[in-house]
Amino acid sequence: MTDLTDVFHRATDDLAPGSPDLLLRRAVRRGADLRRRRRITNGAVALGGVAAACAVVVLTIGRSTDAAVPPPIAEQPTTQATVPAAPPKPAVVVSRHHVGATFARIIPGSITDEHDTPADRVHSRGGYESAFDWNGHLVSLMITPFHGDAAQKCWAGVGKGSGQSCVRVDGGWSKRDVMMDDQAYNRWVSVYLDNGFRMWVLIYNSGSEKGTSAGGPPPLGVPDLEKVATSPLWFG
Amino acid sequence: VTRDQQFTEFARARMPHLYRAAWLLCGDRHRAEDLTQETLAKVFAKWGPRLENPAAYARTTLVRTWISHQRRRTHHERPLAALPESPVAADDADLRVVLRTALSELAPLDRAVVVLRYLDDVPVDDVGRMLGLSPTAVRSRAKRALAKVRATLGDHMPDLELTQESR
Repeated sequence: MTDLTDVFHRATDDLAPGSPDLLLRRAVRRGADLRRRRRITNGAVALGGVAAACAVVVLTIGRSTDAAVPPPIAEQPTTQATVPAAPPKPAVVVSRHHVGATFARIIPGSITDEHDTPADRVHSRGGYESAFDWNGHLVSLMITPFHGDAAQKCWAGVGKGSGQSCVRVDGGWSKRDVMMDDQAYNRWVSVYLDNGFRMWVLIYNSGSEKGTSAGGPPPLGVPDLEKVATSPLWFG
Repeated sequence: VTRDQQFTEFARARMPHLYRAAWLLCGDRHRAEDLTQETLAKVFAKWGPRLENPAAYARTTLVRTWISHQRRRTHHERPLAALPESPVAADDADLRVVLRTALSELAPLDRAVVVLRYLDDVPVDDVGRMLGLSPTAVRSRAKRALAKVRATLGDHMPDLELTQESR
């Protein structure tokens, strides 16, 4: 305590609100209003959570069913804004058993040997990974949900001095790697979509997972793979 | 006892102190009442079993609300152009005039530091947490503010000796 404490007390000890009862009544009324608004806000946030949970449920159902195209229950994709402000997350409407067929709708070709890839790290997050042969070339496609802004998420995964960067593509941000277009055996893209899903698409230059030195470059380029990744066909 | 009754008891007990702190921050009775009312409203909205230390919460809310108001205000409070003539320290009303003048010369954060440190004797670390400042910043602000207050008060209250901020 200093003398200033004493000065403060001497100067204010006899100070009191003009009408404490009125002040209290007003405070309670205003406080009740604030509380009600807070409940409404919390309710809206909870509804948002329920909607997100529904999206995850649809994704999970899509994983476990053989239905060709599960009915979309989430909202239609939002218009693609340059800087999306937490858009509602759509649902993935393509089951993991029909990834190849959807791929072929985007990039025509014959699909064979489609199979699911048991990747727990993906499944546990409500996503899936599927592999199939497209025109005899092994393709792997992974869909995983993420939280946050697509651009930030993309740049967060770019290693300093790695030669990687992020570029804006239609509907999201694509991570670019100096190596991904020069790879002899495979080529890939990783796109963080504005709708909150990451699409990872990889194609080998042969039907085997390791590719082959005799296979030449992969038949699809980065623009083709990004076209697959950003296609609206995956989401309802 | 209902939740609202508990709050009313708390508010009645704490209101005088909150009002005094509000007056030291605002330097004006009406604005002090508004600030006290808004603070109590926020405490009411938060009131519940999870509010462990309502008094501390109210104090923090009061100061932060005031700082927030200061940032929003288009015109800032200015020190009086001239001090009232011949303030008499022995009279509390005159003491208030001098004190208000001295405090009005401080920046809002400095004023908040001074009120928290010297009216409520809040520890430096807690003041820092409440205002988002480091303990060192709190100490230096308190020291600087104290020197200013001393300069103003000392002119009119030569018998007053303010000790330096040492904690």
